[in-house]
Amino acid sequence: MNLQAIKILFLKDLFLSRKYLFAYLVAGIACSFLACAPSKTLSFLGFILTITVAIASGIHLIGTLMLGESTDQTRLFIMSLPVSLLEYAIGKIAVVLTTYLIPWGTMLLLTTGLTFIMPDATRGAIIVVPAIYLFLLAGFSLQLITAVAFESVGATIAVMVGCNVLLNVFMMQLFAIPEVAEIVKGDAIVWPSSVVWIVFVELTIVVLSIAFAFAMQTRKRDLV
Amino acid sequence: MSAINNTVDSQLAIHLESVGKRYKHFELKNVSLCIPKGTVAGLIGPNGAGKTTTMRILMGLVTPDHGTVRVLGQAISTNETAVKKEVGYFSDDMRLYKPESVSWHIQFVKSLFPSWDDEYADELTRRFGLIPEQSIKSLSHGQRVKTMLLLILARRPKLLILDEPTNGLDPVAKYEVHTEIMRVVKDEDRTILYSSHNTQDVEQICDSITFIDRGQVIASSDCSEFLAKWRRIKVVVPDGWHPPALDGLGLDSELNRYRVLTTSAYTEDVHELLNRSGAAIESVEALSLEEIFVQSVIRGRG
Amino acid sequence: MNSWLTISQADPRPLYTQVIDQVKRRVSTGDLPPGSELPSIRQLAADLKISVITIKRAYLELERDGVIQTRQGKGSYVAENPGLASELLERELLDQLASAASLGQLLGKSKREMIRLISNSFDQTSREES
Repeated sequence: MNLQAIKILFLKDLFLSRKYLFAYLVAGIACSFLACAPSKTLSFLGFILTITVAIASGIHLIGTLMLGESTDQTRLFIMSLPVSLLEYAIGKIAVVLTTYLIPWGTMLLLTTGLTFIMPDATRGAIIVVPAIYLFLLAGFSLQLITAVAFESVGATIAVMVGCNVLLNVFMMQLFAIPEVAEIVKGDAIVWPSSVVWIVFVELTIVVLSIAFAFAMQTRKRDLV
Repeated sequence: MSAINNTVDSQLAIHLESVGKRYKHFELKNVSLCIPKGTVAGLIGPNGAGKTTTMRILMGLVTPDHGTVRVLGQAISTNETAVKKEVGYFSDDMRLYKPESVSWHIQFVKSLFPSWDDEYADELTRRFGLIPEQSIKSLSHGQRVKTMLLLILARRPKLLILDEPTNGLDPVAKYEVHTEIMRVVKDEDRTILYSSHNTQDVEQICDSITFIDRGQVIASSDCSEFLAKWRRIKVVVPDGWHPPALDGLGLDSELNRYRVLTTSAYTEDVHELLNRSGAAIESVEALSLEEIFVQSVIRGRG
Repeated sequence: MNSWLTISQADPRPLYTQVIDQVKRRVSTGDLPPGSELPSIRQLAADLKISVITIKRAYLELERDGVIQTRQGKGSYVAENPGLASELLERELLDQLASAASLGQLLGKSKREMIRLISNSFDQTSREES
């Protein structure tokens, strides 16, 4: 395996997506601040918008960096260079994850941090933030698998819509857990076992689906 | 056995042995192909004949269901990267990154090839009349083809696999592209495999030609051999005449006692055989490569 | 580039014949004197954009006809034969006379008549020259 080639491919994609990445970051930061606005309406709007940025950036990245390369036939160009399937797969999955995780991570940290320092926010609400963000990341990983397996924009969008619908159900269920409902209203940050379990399950889904997407990508026999 | 294969392989740039690949609506059937180093080989076939699939198999982009593929003496399945370092592949389907510039692509490809020749790249940029700062999306078809060729040629590959490089080019662009391709031939151990659906593209520049149709190789030989072996023979025959049993002899048309025959195995002996059968030869004509191609395809399809 | 050799697509003769004829012509006119160097096979192939095999064949036939000499690893040269130019012209003369003779036979001309025709042509050309 040639680490240099992987690095070149990774940096190439990072460069190609520089404009989107910047746009997601700016949007993500703006929405995170809006979510902590004193007005109830504005903060709710901000919350919805952060989630929208996370979902939209995910599907857009998969669409342009991953699926775009095969529909535009630029993959034919890349694969004619001295790059193996394994190197291509590592570089591709790494860059898609990185470009997703940069705005995602920024929003996660900002939301957590702002909830912590804003005078009228209840600090206990911090405990649901990782669970919600990891849900988004798990959804993104599932879209990644779908994109790798079917190489179809339609299928990937279908999975995204599914995840989107499930997110609402998930949040309703999350806030319905009695101990969570209690902690969220207060200022004390306590991590109930139910939330820890949810986070653990979500993380497992993320790791497994990325490993699975990677394995599938390297096992493809025909790349064009 | 393997020792013999090794010596043979060291002189071959491309060696395909019974390679097959099945798709839903198309099948590549037992394609075998040997191309010696230092030669220019043409792969001619109608659209959808299997030229592109064959070339993609050579680049390891498509894995065949069976058969062996050796490129520059190495098995593509186990030496993908090593082989691709030495091979320049052009496909009409290939696209570059639209928003980025010609020079961005040059820098990108250069970073993957230690063999990159800066001077040659500059020279090609000038000769092709390319503007390095121009973005790919603003290029014409001809400029895009030239950019891709520049990206391939400046790494000085040992083998060039060119899938329909002059498709859709105007005569001037075609002339420029052929000039650069033929410059490569000055170097004795560099090989070119050039595919086209047009015999005129390859007739002059190729040492050998392989005709492919419906996923099968139907004929393969030196260019001059093709031209020497095929003849159209016009004869006047007696009543009740039967053509002599001769490999490769076919009847094209007839008018009373006049017959137009075509043979794919012409020698001086054909005259004698025809004379002995009672036919009086009126004329013997050479066929153009295009006629030979069409005849081969029609005969192959039966 | 800018080779004095050219290839015509409109010419029905095989490409190697076109190369042979042009080299012979330049040798017989003295534009290529004995000992002058010819481009290498691959150089000429690249310049004319025709296959190496075609040029090889042309050079082989030229060598067989004694027009050029190939020295291993040194390239090809016009044969060091001072009489080569006139020899080539002589050969061409004989070839053309032969085809004139067969045309004459086809038309049923007698030997005496053929000689008279040639003599007439000769006189006419001489008058035009002077």
